[in-house]
Amino acid sequence: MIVRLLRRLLWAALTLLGTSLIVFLIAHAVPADPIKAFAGPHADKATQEALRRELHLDDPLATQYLRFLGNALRGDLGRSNVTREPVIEAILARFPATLALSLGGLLIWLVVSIPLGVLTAKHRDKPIDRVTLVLATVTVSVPTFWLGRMLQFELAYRLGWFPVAGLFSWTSLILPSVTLGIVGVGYYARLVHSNMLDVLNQDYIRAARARGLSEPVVLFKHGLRNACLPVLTVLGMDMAGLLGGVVFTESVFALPGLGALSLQAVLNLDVPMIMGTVLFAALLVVTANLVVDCVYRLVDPRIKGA
Amino acid sequence: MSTAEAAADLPVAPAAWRAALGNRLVAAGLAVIAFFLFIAAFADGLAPSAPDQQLEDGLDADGMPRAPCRQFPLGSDNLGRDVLSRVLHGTRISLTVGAVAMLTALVIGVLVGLYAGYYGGWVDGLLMRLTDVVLALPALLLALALAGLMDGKVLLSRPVEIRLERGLLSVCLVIGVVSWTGIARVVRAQVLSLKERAFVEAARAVGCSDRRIVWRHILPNVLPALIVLATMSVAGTILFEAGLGYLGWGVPKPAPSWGNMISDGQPYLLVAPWLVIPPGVAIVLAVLGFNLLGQGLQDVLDPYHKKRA
Amino acid sequence: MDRRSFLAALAAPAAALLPGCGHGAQSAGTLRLAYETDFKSLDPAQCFDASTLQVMRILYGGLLDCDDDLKLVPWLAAEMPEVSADRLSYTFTIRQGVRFANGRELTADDFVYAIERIFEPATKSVGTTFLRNLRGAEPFGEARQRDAEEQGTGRRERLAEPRRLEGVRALDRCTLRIELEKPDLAFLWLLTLPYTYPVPREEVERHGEVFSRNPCGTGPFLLDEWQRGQRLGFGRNPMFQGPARPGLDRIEMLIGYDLMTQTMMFERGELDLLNIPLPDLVRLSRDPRWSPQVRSLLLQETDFLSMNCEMEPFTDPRVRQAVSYAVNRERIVQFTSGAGIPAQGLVPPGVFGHDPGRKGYGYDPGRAKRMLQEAGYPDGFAVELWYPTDVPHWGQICQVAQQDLKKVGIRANLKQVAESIFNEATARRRTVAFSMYGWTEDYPDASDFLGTLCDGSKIAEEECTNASFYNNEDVNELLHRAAVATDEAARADLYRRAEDLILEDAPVCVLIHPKEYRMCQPRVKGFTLHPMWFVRYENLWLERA
Repeated sequence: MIVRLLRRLLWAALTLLGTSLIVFLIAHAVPADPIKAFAGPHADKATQEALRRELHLDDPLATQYLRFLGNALRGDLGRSNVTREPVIEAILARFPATLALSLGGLLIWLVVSIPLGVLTAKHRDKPIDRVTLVLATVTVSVPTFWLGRMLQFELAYRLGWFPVAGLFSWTSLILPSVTLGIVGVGYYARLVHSNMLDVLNQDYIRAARARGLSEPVVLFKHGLRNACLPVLTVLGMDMAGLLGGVVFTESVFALPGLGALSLQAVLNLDVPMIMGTVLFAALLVVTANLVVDCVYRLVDPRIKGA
Repeated sequence: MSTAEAAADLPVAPAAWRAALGNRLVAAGLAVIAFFLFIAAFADGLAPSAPDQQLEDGLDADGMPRAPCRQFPLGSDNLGRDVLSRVLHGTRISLTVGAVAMLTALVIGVLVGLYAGYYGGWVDGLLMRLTDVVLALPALLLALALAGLMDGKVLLSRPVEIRLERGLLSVCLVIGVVSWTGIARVVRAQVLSLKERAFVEAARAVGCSDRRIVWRHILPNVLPALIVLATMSVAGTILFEAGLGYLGWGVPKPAPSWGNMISDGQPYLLVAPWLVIPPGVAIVLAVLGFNLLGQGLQDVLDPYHKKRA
Repeated sequence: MDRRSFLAALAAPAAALLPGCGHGAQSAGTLRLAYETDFKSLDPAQCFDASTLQVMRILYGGLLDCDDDLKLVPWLAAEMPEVSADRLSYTFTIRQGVRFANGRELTADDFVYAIERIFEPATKSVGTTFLRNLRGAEPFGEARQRDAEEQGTGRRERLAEPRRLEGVRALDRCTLRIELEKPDLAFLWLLTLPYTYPVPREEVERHGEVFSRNPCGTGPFLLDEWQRGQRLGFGRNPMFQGPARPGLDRIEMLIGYDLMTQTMMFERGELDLLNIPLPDLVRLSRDPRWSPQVRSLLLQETDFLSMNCEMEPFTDPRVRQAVSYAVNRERIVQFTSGAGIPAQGLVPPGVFGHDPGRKGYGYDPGRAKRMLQEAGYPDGFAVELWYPTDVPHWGQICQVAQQDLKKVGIRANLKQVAESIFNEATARRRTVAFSMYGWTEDYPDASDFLGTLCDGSKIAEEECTNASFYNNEDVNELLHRAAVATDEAARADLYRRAEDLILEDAPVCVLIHPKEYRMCQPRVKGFTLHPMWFVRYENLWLERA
């Protein structure tokens, strides 16, 4: 078990290394001159030379990469070319907002899809099942940014039920969480639905019913627990997808999170910030996968091999 | 793995296809897709005007877009162009990008999955590591960074000049390059199970080269899963292109891609919502069509798929 | 980053999430507004864009200010300066009793320090180009560069001669003398710009690199909060000794909101000020609820199409003139909701040197086609039109221009380029043939427009501000004479003649002078727009409900 865990950790570390290399190569192929971006259009030669020296821009690429790596491991991700603030500070300052948004989205995601999946499994082939199926497929087909704008326009601007943008209180998170979560609701509801269908046909469920347990207990205590296991694995794999939706949602609702930060970095061609945020995102994804993997193994002792 | 075996055991025979068409989801999905294909094919005839034509009375006296009326069924945009015409022409772009990007992702994913699954060992390890790395990178940011590279740099001068220009093709390639990982994984899983099967042993005994086995024997059996993947992938790439266009890094303007339209129309949301709503609805419908089709095909061709999770 | 700041960073949004904190809640005396992007630096030496300038004025102060009628008035100077007969020497008396935010009193030495600081490479200031006419500026600047190279940046010791800047001297605690190399009638305007705002030496040395985030000035407000990329908070400066006390208790600037979102927030009462985006202009100015709160300002800016005179096909002046005849400026104004006026020349109205009677190119596509034919392009030609990402409606203007040009056979291919790349490429020789450009004044004088944009002697291989790479000996001579002219009327005449020649050669196709519109919530009082500073926060106050 420990050996397996260590091996997984090693693979995770290697993955991150590969990620950092790719990020570095792409970021440095990007055609932006950080000197002009910071010093402005009127800067003279001496000012530019000073900046150039400071940013070590004349070193060979391999040296720059190794320096980047070395610094990254010590927690120093350099400074933004645009604002000159330390990248790691910017990332950590923005992380809570993204975390809050992700948790909110996840909450909506699960709170809506699980009961929906259970209900449609119980009432299979009835109207509610069909309607849910159609709705489920529709929600997966909606672009996040468009949905967010529409919700913001109608519910916040026209009706005034929610704040328009920004992160000022928990009410600011409602619309963004719905935007983020609803896209996954359809897919997950179907997943829970099909898993529940299989589980409900198992012997131990029939046994529980035979013992006289009430239907709700049967459904939720026994069925749901087993139906949720596969959902857990898929959740881990979908972390990267969640992050994608986060970028658009934070952009539309002007939430001060990592998504907006990384988007601005890419649009500004701010190389250190791009590298830092993408690396951090990769770290989150890899960590999430690792955690989910371990939890899965712990929870389901049947799985020992591959 | 029994699930893949079960899938592979299902012959892609006439009976299966009949079952496929009978499935309601498949039928609905095909209907929607056919509708969009029709529009894409006959956009020139269906659309009242050219998509980038700034019409004389396209704007009202204040220079503002016109609301939907008889002359402009879906209103006009901030440059006096007909929104309906642009949405119709946008179908071409979305379907083209969807298809080409999907093909790119498919080619890369199939190659990676086939070779990783069949050869195993260090090849598998290397390719799967590569897949993990690409998976860990946020697709959107990666695509934006790659699109940012397309600024006209000349890659090769001889024998033929290759320039990295931003255009329809480069957008397709960029989307394809960040979207192949799911396909690779599924293909690999399929190949892993297939390669221990009897017919592969037989082929090897007869003296078939590895290459022949992979391409002539294994690949055809991966096809059902591939069809489902391809369909779902188109849905994803259309959404992706819309996202890139929304951020301003999709197909270059003034091409009427739906993402571009939403991006251009967004500043006018408060005065002219008809600039933003129709392209959004179009995206939802087109993606819905492919999702329905894919969902239906999955139910028919690969009914044990849900167990795999 | 240390653990404490991390926990603090986590705590802030967590606290906001507590129930009971209603959305958009603002305290009675706080003014709230939003920006799309964050400020790069709040060090006056590093300020070069308009929005930072507005903030700089409430944190710091300068020798001279400019009033609503574009007249120079004393600010930190007690009165207008004594000017020598040869217009080379200016003597200022500094106001008594002015204090920095750290409590120390302002002296003439602080001006000397601030100006000398501009020339230090470690300050990374862009003010060197503006202040190069100060006496001894060139050798002083070179000496500081030599120092920096030998010691590495960041060292403050001055070893190379000359050690002081000759042109700026403190005669005593409250007397400042500034001397120029050559006479410049527009020089006093430079003293309204942040490069000459005094900064306290002890604070600069204490903070070093991060002085840009810890401003300490003589202005009515001070910065008490700056979460990068998120918000800035300004409170009253208790040390402020101005003519009038500011009416606001606090100013909150939120960062990272695009204009449409800002408009939605404003209409919902979540913001107090709004820079009205073009799409909503007509709607809001006609809405009876909001129209009393709308203010407009004709900007001292010219938007134009820049044609590279060194690249085909724009080497031929007839082609350039054809472009100027082909574009329908009225239509461009119409397409920008009337937020502007057609430009007749390069120097905008209100700027010294502007000729109100000038008639520029009219809309004459027939003539444009004929000229193209004469120049040898009967079927027109294809060309790429570059424009940057940072101004949203320029894309629209370019598309309108593209349509106009198409009518005379010029097939312009629009190319939107990231701002930083655009700036760099258009400033490099023989790179970009055709681009959309705009020039806003740094100060209201024709030298800032014609001298910067059309002086052929300033052409460089890189970072050339003469984006058209236009070189006309006669024009150069007129501009050089005007720069050092000592008689106002003669100077204006020289600029007028230069502009005549320039427009005839048409290296640029002038389009419009844009207008800007802003509005405030009904509770905001004292809101007017100033031609250079736009919003003056020190004049605002809030009506308590």
